[in-house]
Amino acid sequence: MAESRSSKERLLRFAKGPGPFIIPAIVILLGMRAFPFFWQFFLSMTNMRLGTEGSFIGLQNYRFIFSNPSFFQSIGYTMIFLIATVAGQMLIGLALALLLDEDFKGKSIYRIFFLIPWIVSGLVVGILWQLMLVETPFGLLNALLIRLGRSPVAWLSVASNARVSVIIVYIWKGLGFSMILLSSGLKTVPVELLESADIDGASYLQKLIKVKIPMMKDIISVNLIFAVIASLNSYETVYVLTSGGPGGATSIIALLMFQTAFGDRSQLGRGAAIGVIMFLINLILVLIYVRKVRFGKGVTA
Amino acid sequence: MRGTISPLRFRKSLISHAVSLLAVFIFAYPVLWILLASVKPEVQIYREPLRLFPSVWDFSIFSRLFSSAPIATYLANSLLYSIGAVVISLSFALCAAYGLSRHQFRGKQLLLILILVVQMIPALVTVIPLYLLMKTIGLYDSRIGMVLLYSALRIPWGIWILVGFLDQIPMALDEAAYIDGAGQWTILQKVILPLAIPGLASAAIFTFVGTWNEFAIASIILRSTENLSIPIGSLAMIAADPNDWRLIAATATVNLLPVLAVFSLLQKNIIAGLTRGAVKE
Repeated sequence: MAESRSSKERLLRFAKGPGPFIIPAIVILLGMRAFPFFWQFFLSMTNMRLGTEGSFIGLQNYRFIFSNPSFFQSIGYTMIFLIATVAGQMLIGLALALLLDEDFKGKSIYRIFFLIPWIVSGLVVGILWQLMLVETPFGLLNALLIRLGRSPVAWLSVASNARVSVIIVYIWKGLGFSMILLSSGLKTVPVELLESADIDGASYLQKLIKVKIPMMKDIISVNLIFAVIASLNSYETVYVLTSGGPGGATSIIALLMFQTAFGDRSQLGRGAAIGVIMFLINLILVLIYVRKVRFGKGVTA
Repeated sequence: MRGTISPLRFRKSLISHAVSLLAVFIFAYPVLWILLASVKPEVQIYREPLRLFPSVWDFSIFSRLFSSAPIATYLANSLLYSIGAVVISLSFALCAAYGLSRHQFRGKQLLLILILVVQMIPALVTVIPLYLLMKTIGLYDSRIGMVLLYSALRIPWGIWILVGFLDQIPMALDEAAYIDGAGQWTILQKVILPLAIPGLASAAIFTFVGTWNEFAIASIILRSTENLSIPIGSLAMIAADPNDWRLIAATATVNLLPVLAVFSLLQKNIIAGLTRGAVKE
């Protein structure tokens, strides 16, 4: 009895205190963010198409997806795409962060320029690089190659080239974010450690590998997880650049979901199954982040 | 010896500048090129593609763009969606952040974690249920629906930024106001809100730019010309005229300029907010 009274009291206290402030936001989040996650699980087990109700078909969508060669092609490219874009963004981002960690005039202006691609919308990045990579002689990169006396390249119409081109575009777009995060990480490395490494006669590379990178472990993990999530869930740039072609060669998983659900055959149920798979991958990444980074060291809110 | 630059340091800073300039070229040249392509005489785009600055500045494409296409409508819609999302999402987020920052209650930590998880999983993975949801509640392809959806999707992020911010405002201020007889809503309005303005401003910038640039969800929710946002409308225009590079460049410029303006004015806040959003200080 005492137990139930105290919980009633707690409820009353919540209703008089934080309740009215928190509950409206929570209701909206439940309806618009949480409910769609659950609904999608249900949708993924139907054969719903645009304009039809669809009926329950159990795990057939998943069975289809996991036996379908075009899905495997998409998963395969998505993996390569994720590894290459994230590695490229982080390595070049680190190089630029180290550059801006040096002491020279005007570096804050350079930093602004390095960030420009990150602020540009995914659509404009797609349009921009479409014009850069167009295969006629007036495409920018081919014009440059011709000027240098080389022959033009089929940047987007040959599968293997298109795969690399898409990766380069995403590295170009995303590395400003890595640069900023890693820059702020470099600032947290204690000067005393670097000075004592200097006294021991450590080279630049040794200081980087033995002192700076270990000290930046946390921020590197944050960067890694954010970059993977950003690449995994990107859609419009590759949609504008290649629409997943040629022949599905650059169809990353987010694009495959859109095209399955809203393309010619508009298979919403099957698209939802891809959505569920993407949701689970995202969830794992987020949980790692929450556990290790945000709440790992007894951080209290 | 102070004031003189040693040759070694001089050489080092020279290398730093050289590498920086190369990087600036790679990052800024394409963006600058597309901005300037819109004001070049058309032949120069095709005859001298590598040329950056036009020989003659010709702004006629913009009058053509605004007279022939509904781009003014797209711009107005995008402004509505972005500002609507800023105002609505931050109102709800500020209230929730107040409740979470100023009160202790059971399950608060769990609630914060759940909000973070929901925030970090992109809404893009639920585009199919969101599409069906908007159809079911009759808000598919409507301006109000788009504002509400964008606002709802942005709330968790706003809560996280603002909780971190409000936690730094001393509780003593609340208590002083409480002793003077102020209720919670008064405290939120009169004490917290004025002090939270820097945090709100930083959250507003990100919400505005994020909504302005959003493509994936809008491409599914909006159909009619009069409702399209600027990215969706732009793509429709380009698809209708895929070989007119000057028109494409002008369209991209209209997309880009507001964002570049916001960025150049507020880059310090943006860079600080970027780090704060990812790492808890």
